[in-house]
Amino acid sequence: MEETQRIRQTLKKSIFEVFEKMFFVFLEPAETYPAGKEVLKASIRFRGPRSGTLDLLFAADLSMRMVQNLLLKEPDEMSERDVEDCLKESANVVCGNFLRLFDSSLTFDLSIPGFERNSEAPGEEKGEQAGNPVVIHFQSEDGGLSAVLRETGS
Amino acid sequence: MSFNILIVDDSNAMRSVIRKIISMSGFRVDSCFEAGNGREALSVLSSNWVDVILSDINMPEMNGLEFLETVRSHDLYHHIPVIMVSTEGSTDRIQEAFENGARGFIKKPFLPEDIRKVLYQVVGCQEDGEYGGNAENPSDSEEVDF
Repeated sequence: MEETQRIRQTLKKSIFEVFEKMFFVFLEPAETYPAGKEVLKASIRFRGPRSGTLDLLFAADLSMRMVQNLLLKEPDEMSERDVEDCLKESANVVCGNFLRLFDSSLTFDLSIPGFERNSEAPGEEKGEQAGNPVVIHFQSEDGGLSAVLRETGS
Repeated sequence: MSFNILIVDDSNAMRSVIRKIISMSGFRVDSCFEAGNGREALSVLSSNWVDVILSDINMPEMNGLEFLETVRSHDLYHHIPVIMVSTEGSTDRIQEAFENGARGFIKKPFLPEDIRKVLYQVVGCQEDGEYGGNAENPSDSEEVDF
């Protein structure tokens, strides 16, 4: 359980850092996923001394805010591609940053990130069981974010 | 003196961000080319003069380390400084990039000043735009930690 705590803290730190530095979005921890109408999902796999998947689930308004802040575009100027691109890149950077913060002496290979619209919000039944997956929820002025980290072994 | 820059990243958003940061940094840019992976970047190099390359690592088709290796071993491109801009920042991966000839390494997430700082150092150019001419000195290489 101690290691699960370390994973959780490191993932949280990585997410705060990436969202503040890259997207100028300030997140607060939340107990559950703050439900939204539409959920967008960006996923990335990592392989190395440990392997697994990181899913980031975004409320639609939060994803718009991220595009707006990263690309300096107004909502009417944004394309579907901009949204997909920004969210995929956020998964890439969060995952890389997390692995580096967790142990910079370990080398991992990251997959090309994937993207899905109208994904299912993580409910209570999908919560942690014995620390795997690690599920963390956040809220922001523009809606919620959840991170789901699943380890699949090395 | 102004420079031709090539940005290699499979994320359109990230290319756009880097391009904006460079244009706002005061770094003198003549042309800014973009490519979505190493293979596309080689195609850009075959028909354009490029002074400095900023490349991601994790890309489809040809990744950044394969691209770096190809550039360093190419008769016409081996002199072009390559700066890696990547989320993959393990000690070994950074060392591998420098051993393969990278001149700088910027870890994502980065701040605008991080890009500017490394860019100026790698091309041996002072911030007033004057060319210092020491771009081949390996001690100019910089890893930026955020």
